[in-house]
Order: sequence, then C-alpha cells, then structure tokens
Amino acid sequence: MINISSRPSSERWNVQAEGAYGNYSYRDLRASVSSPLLKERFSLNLAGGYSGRDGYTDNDLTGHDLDSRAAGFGKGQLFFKVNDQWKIRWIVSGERDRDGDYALGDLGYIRANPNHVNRDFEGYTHRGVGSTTLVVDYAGATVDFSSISGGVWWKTHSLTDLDYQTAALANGGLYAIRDSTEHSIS
Amino acid sequence: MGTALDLSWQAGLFIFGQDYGQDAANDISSTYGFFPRMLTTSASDLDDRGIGIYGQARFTAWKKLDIAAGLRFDYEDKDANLVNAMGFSSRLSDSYSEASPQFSAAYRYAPDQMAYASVSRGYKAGGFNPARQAFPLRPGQNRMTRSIPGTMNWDTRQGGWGTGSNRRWRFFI
Repeated sequence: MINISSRPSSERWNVQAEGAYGNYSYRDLRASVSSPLLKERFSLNLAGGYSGRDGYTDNDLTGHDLDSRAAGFGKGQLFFKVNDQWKIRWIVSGERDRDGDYALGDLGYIRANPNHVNRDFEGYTHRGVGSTTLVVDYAGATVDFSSISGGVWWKTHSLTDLDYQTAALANGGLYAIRDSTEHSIS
Repeated sequence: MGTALDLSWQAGLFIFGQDYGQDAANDISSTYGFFPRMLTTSASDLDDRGIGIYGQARFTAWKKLDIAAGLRFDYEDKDANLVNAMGFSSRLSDSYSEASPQFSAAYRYAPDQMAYASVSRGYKAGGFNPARQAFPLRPGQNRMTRSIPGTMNWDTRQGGWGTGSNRRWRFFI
C-alpha cells in the first residue's frame, strides 16, 4: 500500500527553496511556502517547481539530442478550521510535461554506437495532469467522519517515428510515424 | 465495553467513475513512391463506474491482544467501444464484483515488543484492453482477446518487532 499524505500546516511561516544542476544540463528548482494557522482558522500551502534535462541519446542525422525531459508542477492547499470538530482542506495540483521522443533505433546501429541513433523523424510526448481534492473531517466524541472527494484529468499526446530508421533505397524509402492521444477524467 | 475489552471500528464507502479515451494513427509511406501511403487509425473509449463498501472491527483485550476482521465488497461496471485499425468496431460491456476478507491478530507480550499474523485477500477488477486492436476479429472472438479477467491474491504475513532495554537494540522479523 502506498499512502501519500499532503503536507500539514506548519507552526510558523515556512519558506523553502532548493535547486540542483548537473551534467546533461540537468536542472531542478522547487520552492514552497506554508503559513501557520491564521486567525485560528485558515492556513495556506503552496509548492511548485521545474525539472528538466537534455537527452541522453543523440540523433546523428540531425545532431539533436532525442530524449530530453522537462516538467513543471505545482500544488496548492487551503485549510479551513470551521470549529474544533469540523475541518476542511482543498487541494489543487497540476503538472505539465514536455518530453522528447523515445530513444529507439536500429539495434545494430545502437550496438555499434551506444547512445546514438540515426532517424529521419523526431517526435515528442506532451502531457498535462490536473487534480483537485476536497477533504472534510469531523472529529466527534465517539465517532470520527472523513469525506474525500476528488477528480483527476490528464491528457498525453505522443508523436514518434514508427520505423526508427532513415528512409533509403535499401528499405524502399520507408517513412512511418505514429500519432497517439490518450485522455482520462476520473 | 469495559476496561478489559475495547472495540474500535471503521466503515467506508468508495465511489468512482472514469472515462478514458485513446486515439492513434499510423502513417506509413515511401519517400520514393515505391508503395502507396497507408494511413490507419484506431480509437478506444472506456467507461468505468465502481463502488466499494468496507468495514473493519478490532477487539483489544487487556490492552495486549488485538484481533481484527474486515470485509470489503467491490462492484465495477465497465463499457468499452473499441475501433481497430481495420475499421472493425466492438461494443463490449461487463461487470465485476468480489468480496475481500481480512483477518489479523497481534499480541504485545511486553510494552515495546509484539508478534502478529495476518491474512487478507486483494482484488482488482478486470476490464478491456484498448491496445489489442491489431487484428479484425469477429464480435464474440474479440471478447476473449480484449477482455482482461479480474485478479485476486491471498496475502499472509507473520512477524514481530520490538525494542530492547534502554532502547539500545530493536528487531524486526
């Protein structure tokens, strides 16, 4: 079982930021701010960030890297203490991904040139995710009650080379691509 | 229930709905015109509706022995509209339900040491596979290749953990 709990209210104003940088232009920035209980009733929690890197695989035909990754994300929480028994939490989160193509290619070419492919089409995978959750808690003398209502929306659009090679006389000038979209709401 | 015996319980209701869609197009051609262009498309629409009801009770005797039992009932109704690359369309529908029990016992033979055992059954409803669209099977045949049966498993665990005197050591089994 995986149990993921959203960050609780802090006892004082809390601001955090962190960043990282590495090879392949890896960069990761994220920050958050959380408030204490304001006027004995409200608290706020915001977090967001960006993470990305260049691709590990080069396309020798174009000189581009192929499988880069980039994602921006954010999450906000609003907490409302109605009284000692009733508490309400509203959570909204989102993510936006802009990834490169699959690092697939001719196996013989990759064995001879690790982390290199030779393709005439470069695609991508784009993804968007959004969610919202409303949590209502009641703490009674003998019985506690909890209600969690939420929705998740996501959409993924992928465009990719289907033959993973370069059109040439030897393969009849084969040029194939695949365009696919997935979407869900729940 | 008195100082020797204590009862705690939890009950819940889980309702969900999900709409999933997938559209794909394959475009295959020859740069030199050696063969005609082939453009094929496929589409899938999956609609799921489900409800789960569960309850669990735990008896604690003399603050040392916990005995718990629980039961969850799941029901899911699934509809699928699958159109494969050859243009064949299938409308499929099925429902899945199962009851999943859970039992556990734990004994705290010292303030910081306990032994436990549990047995539970997990369940995941079946459904339809939107990826199995390659072959133009006739209605009826499609069902076998695209339908995914529900799965269940039994999970048993036994073990113990504890902390020694002065909290200098601890163990997990």
